[in-house]
Amino acid sequence: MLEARDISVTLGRKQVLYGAGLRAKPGAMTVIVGPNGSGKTTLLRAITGDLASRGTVTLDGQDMRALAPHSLAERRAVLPQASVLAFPFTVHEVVRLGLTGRIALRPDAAKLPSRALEQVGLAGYGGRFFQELSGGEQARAQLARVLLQVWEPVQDGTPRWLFLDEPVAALDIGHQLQVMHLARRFARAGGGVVAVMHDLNLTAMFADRVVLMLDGRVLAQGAVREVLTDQNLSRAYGCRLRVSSLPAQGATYILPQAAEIA
Amino acid sequence: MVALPWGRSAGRDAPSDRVTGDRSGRARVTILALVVFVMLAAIASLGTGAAGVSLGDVLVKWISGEELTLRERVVLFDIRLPRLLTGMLVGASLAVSGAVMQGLFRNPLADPGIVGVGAGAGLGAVLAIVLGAFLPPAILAVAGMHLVPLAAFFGGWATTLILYRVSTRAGRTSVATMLLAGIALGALSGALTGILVYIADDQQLRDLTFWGLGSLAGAGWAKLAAAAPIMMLALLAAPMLARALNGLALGEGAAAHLGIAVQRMKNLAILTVAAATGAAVAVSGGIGFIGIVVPHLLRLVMGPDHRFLLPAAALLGAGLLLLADIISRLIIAPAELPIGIVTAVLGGPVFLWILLRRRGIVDM
Repeated sequence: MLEARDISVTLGRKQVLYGAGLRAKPGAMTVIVGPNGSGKTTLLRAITGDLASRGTVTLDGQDMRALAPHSLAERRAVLPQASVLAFPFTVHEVVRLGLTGRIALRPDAAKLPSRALEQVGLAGYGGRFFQELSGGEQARAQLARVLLQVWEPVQDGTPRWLFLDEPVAALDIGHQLQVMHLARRFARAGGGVVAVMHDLNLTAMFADRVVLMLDGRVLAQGAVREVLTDQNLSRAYGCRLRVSSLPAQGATYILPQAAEIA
Repeated sequence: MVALPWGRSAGRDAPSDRVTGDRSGRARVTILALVVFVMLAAIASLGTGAAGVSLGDVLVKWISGEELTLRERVVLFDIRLPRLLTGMLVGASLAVSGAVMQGLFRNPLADPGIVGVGAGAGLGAVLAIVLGAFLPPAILAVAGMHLVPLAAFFGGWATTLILYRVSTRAGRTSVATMLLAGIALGALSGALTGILVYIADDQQLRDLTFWGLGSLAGAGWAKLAAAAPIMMLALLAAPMLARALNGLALGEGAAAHLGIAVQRMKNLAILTVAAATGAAVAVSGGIGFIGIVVPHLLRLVMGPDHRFLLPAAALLGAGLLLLADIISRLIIAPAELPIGIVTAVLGGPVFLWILLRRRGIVDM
């Protein structure tokens, strides 16, 4: 269980998070959504320790900030938004950097980077230079590295966590679905996933739990149907949105065509 | 690049590293080749010099059990051997501190000589030479013969620290700021050094002049003993930084998420650069371009993985400096050219070539 309570963040002179909180369970996918500037990424970065914040973050009851970097790295991996690589590493070499901690001691460790690349649809890309890949391919190569770091969703009975900051923002629809399925499989296998997303439809499709943010506060959190409502979404996004559902499976979707700009 | 059949990762049917992207096999072969290269350079260095003592004669005498003449013993063991060891340690230290600094600043153009760390270390060394006598006796007693290299280390350390603080914000280093701050710090160190030269007495001026030329000519056992422990410490610490520097290539945040204690590693990297540069500068003056050319050439051949780059840089740095030293002894024999001139003549054009290669590929 991951629990962030009363998280406040001040960047420069401006306070950007006001006591935001989040609960996420292993075995489930928790998605943070909200309009631009609502504090989604800031909340994620406060939880992962990238940003200094007030409040508490606990992982299975342990203070996450008190864990040493190497033991924290054994329990969770973080996918950042696009990053710049300093030297001409090959894709294989970038992915291999995720081979840390006990995973590196497995007898098949040398084969794992290429298997991680297969999972993100980049089989055979190991020999290319990372800097020569397209933005979407770079994002997936980074995802392969992050996956490798927490290769087993549950290690010695302890669930491991994936924190994903806009994992599908740079991807085409086919790869968006591929990555979302990958994240869901990780959660179904017992790991925990916390993702920041822009796409409400992918969120509705894949999230087990949604955290909706507005102006540095959590507006609502809970199951998809409880959070993604006409009222909540219209208030958060500043335009009248209507939530629909497919008659057959009851899946939730939001069409921009059905929105009215206030 | 030459395709080496034995550079493939495993077995005859294994795909080449161009396909897999795993260059660790190629890196290992490169390191082995460099070990041979350093040994050959060392033998050549022992056999070269104005005294005309040839290794062949010495070897024949040694095999036949004949005694070496006093002259031969002095030339080999009191002149050429300390010079050889000093050259190897200085070359390795300069190349490794270049590679570490480039990893720390996440930029292949960072080099202790270019960004003023060498000048800062030089200021420390000159301070110790000129004003050392005024230090409290307790400090003098503790530092002993290590005073000049230690002072150079502190000068280099202070410069690196200031440089890092000035040019890095929120984990990102601005290359333009780094280079400009390096110029400013280098000029400042140069000016302060100049003031010290004014107040130096005649004997100190003599010391300063020989030292400042960038030369291994003054290398002897005493100088080597003073600086070697500091350089060895830095060279031993460097491999511990390899994983951290690889992680830092992804950015500080990503490195931390990989389980790297980023701040501690950055401090260790700065100390390593300062110790290696400081001690090398203290013993040999300003020898340029080794720190930037060596890591760059190696990255072209075997990639930027610091687990292999750091040991390979130590070897190639040691070997190249020995070669440069041999050239400096041969080119105007029996006189010799300061080695700093040789490395600048060879390294300057290579550095320009690196800049040209980067244009249009990576922005700086």
